[in-house]
Amino acid sequence: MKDRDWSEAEAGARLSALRESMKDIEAPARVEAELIEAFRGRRRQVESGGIRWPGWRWAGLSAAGMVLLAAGVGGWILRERELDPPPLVVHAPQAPPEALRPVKNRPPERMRAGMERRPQKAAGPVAAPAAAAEEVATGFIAVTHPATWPEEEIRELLRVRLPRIAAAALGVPVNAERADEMLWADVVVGQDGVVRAIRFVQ
Amino acid sequence: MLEGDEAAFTALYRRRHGEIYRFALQMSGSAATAEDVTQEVFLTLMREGHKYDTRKGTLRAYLYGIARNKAARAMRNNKEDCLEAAKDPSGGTEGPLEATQRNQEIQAVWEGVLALPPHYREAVVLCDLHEVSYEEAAQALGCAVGTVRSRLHRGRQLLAQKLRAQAADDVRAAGIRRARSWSL
Repeated sequence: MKDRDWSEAEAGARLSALRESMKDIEAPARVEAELIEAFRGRRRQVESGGIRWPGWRWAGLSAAGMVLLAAGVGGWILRERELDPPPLVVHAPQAPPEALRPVKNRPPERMRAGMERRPQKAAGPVAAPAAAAEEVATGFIAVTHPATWPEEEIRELLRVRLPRIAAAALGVPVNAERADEMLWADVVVGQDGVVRAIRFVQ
Repeated sequence: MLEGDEAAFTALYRRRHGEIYRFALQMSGSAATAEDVTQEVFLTLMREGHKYDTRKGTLRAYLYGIARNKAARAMRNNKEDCLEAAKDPSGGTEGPLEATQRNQEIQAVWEGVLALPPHYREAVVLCDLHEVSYEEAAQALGCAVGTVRSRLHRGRQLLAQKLRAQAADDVRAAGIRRARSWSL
């Protein structure tokens, strides 16, 4: 340890000697001459308007950035508005199975027969528009086992947008190239807010 | 200076260029690289001097910081030239040691400094050869003061090891010379 300290002290002394020996070394005079010439050239450019002050440059870039940002946000909002959900049409073969239908306040048998001929109304914020279009839907896929569902509850049918990958997670074949696209889905939600079943609509 | 005052620029250059040139020389071991780095540092100051913020440190530390980056880049690009100069610092007509009081000890120390890893070398050069405070060195190197201290300590240790090893070699070489002269 003592030897190491001595060596470091000795190294320090030698560094001092090196510092002293190099203290008068300077850059050649031509460097100063070239720099002053460059300085004059730059000043001439500034005076002739060839170079703008940096502050103006950044202000211009910032303004351009803000305009682009505003345009992007506006475009996104317009696009979202155009993406209203497609009309909801429930075809008889694809209707929710018996277990998915509301079991409370069930209408009498004769009324039910009439209801099944009429299109169902969508619950929640997604209302079925008057003009219905043809669509293809998968069958309802139970997310939780029907045996675990409460015997008496009112279930809601919601139409939502989901990434295609969500369909793959439920075992529906998905084109991998379009996995990041969105698709519509009808979701059956129980009174407790838990999803009971889901089907995908195209 | 940023408003085009040539006298201010000249005064600033004359006050600061020596230490910037020496720093680049001590980092690279090459007079040509040191010259280029000095020129680039002041050209950068001319173009981007508005980026200097007095709250972040001294102008001296700011210039050392630019010089450090320029020197590192030059050393990457001209590695062979710098290594060549490190092997033979007195080589060439304007060898840096030729301009000083050259002797073996000083040459050995300088070679030892040049052989240090860059992180340790820049701490040793700034704090020991330029007597820059730890705070200024930290500003120039863009690191914490504690980091400067530890790098400096480690750099000095490595340098001491090199000098010790070199001294042992010298003793061995002297012994061999004596033995040869005795046998003759």
